[in-house]
Amino acid sequence: MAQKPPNMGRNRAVFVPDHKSFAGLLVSDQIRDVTAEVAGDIAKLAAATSARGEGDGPHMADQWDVVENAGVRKVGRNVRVRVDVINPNIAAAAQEFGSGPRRGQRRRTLAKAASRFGDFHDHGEGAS
Amino acid sequence: MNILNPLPSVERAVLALLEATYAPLDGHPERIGGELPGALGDLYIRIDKAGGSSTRLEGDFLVDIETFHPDYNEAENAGLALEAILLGYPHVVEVGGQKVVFDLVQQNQGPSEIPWNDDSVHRLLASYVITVRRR
Repeated sequence: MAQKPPNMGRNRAVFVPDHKSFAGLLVSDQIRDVTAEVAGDIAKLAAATSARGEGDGPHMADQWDVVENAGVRKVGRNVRVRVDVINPNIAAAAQEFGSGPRRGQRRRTLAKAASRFGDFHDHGEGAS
Repeated sequence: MNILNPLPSVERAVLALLEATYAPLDGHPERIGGELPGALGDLYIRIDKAGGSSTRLEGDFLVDIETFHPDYNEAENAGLALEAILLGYPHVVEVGGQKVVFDLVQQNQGPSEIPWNDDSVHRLLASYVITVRRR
């Protein structure tokens, strides 16, 4: 007669997801530090690929910066840390998106730099 | 050797989708394209692929869609209408006899005004990541 394994079905390990703790981790300084490190790499690449004028400046290429404590952002119904890569230069928006009819004016420096560290996807709804 | 089918032009696919679904473009093909007309007196929608990458199975493309109009509200209405169309994926459109499938559309930035060198025109830009299936 086959012997029945002891405790079958009674002592199985069951995974119980701890959503609350995980949500806490995703807004923690631990995650913010990693995110800020990637943001710093994006800023460096953007600086290296920015057009540099010949004037005295300030040059947009030298003005890329990271805002580590940019609050949080909503991804779907969840909250994540937010770190921004910014450039305060008055010409930054025009350089990124163009300000005239020629398509070549749109450098999209930041978008292209960021894509090297991800896959363009924002992984969220209602992102801005 | 396994040679894949080339991915379709995502810009032409978006153009075909919007022409087929956005009513103000009915009978007005001049209101949409990749190159701006000489004068911007009415609604114009510009589609521009800013980048992307692909695999054996699909391609992800960053596509900017700009709406131009002398009236800010009209430019915004157009931007929001296009957003509603695009985010209603999946989409199947035909470009050059080839069916194109948008499996996923994600918005990186909603329609928002970006500086333009002509103060008589408002330009709103929205940015999407469109995943196109290789067939």
